Amino acid sequence: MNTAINAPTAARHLDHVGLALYTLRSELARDFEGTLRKVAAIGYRELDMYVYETTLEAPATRAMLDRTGLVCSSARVRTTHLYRGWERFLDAAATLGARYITLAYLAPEEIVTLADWHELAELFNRCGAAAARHGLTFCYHNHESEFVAIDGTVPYDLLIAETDPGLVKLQVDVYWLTRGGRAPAVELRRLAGRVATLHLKDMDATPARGIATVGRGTIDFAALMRAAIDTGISHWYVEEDNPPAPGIDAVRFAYQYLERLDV
Amino acid sequence: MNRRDFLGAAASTLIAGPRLFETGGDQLQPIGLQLSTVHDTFTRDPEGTLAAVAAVGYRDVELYELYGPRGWDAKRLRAALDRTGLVARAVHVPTSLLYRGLERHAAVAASLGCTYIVCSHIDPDERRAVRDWHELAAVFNRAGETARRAGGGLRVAYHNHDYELASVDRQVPYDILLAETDPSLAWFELDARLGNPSAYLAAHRGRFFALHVGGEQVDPRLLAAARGALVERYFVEINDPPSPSIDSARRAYVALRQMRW
Repeated sequence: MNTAINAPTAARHLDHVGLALYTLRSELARDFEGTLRKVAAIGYRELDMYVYETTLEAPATRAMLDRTGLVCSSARVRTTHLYRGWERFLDAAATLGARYITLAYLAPEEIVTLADWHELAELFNRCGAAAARHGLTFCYHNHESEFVAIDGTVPYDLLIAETDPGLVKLQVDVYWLTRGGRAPAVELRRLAGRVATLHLKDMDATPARGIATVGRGTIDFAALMRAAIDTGISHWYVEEDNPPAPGIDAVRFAYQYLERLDV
Repeated sequence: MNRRDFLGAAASTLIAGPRLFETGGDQLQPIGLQLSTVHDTFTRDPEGTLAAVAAVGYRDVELYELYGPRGWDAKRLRAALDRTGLVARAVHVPTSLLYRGLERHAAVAASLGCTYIVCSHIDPDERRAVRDWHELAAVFNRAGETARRAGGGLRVAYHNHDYELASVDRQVPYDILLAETDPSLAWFELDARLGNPSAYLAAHRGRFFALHVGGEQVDPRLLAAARGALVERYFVEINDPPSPSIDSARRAYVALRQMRW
């Protein structure tokens, strides 16, 4: 918020930060509930997590979240669930308490031609309509290949044009968006209304532009979060694919960095 | 190559040269390699790795990526295979490809020379209950039908792990798949390292197009059972061998070439 002329106003801070549980998958595999307690102790309240992170059924997972004081606001799924058992996954996601059901990943073989993207847009519309009947919003999570043109068309733009804005929203991964050549803050404002949630991860300063812990890289999170708040986005999740061990320390650093950020 | 072709090839080898006759008995041939065995070098240097695989003596390979390494396409992959004299007989694909666009994937697989498109993995959350296996059997039947309609002679197959062999609600998922898939639409690639492969081979003759073998130690009785069950292909697959991975592929090849049954 630009208040250069008026007397300085109080700094604006994020009042909540979420975590993508994928970040801590090795710790969770060793001790699921114990790791959730550590996550909650840092201050995180919201999670983005697979519908089935363990062999537990959804009610038992929900009970565990309730015990640790965490909320699953975004439940993740893989493509195969869109084709088979979708209603069961919607039920399970609703049991977890999720508001969003997010497709996490498409394999390279699934997105070879523009025909694939046209078909996926149609599939997402159908799945989004079913999700809405369960009180859930369907979201699509991007990586980098969505920004590589096929026959002159950028798949991400095709997807946004061909999906119903009321049924299909976006979970924007700001790292992959940046790698895809787009400025996240600008893109969030351009896509206002289509973006429901964010994955926050940073980009290191090496030529390889690898993934870094949020706050240790080159992405301007203050500008990004200002754009997010201005456009009505209210769910964001810290993620780091392979955090330095122990992962919980990286997750704590990211939380404290975001908490202090003046947005 | 079916059993009759195999015998024909063996006979012509006898005519062309005395090698089989000298060594006596049947050799396990043709021996193929699942390229995932050498994925560490294939990712970095696909052409060099294919040349090394061919130099070992392998003639057949099974692919683990339909479109080749990152940045490649099927055309480039086929050209690279042709240059080394390797033939891709089958390709492993993720389950998601069976549901959408299979007619396109089938055409690509056929253009690579493959006769089997093999579903090689089912995620844990795709198989939480017995119902999932019943549904998956139906998925394989539908996919087999789609592949048949696409022409090109491509068939759909399923590659097992250990999880299909463990009971779910007192039922063995693998038995559900074998019972509920149509033998004219769905084939199987049996991993000889798991469960009781000989019993499956004996009970479901003609349904296994290939046997996956793990390396140097293979029971000759199992190979005899495979021959009796009309298995067409043998692929060496070693999971994450020590570097250099080609050495493990070579040792397995040499050991299998020396086997008689």
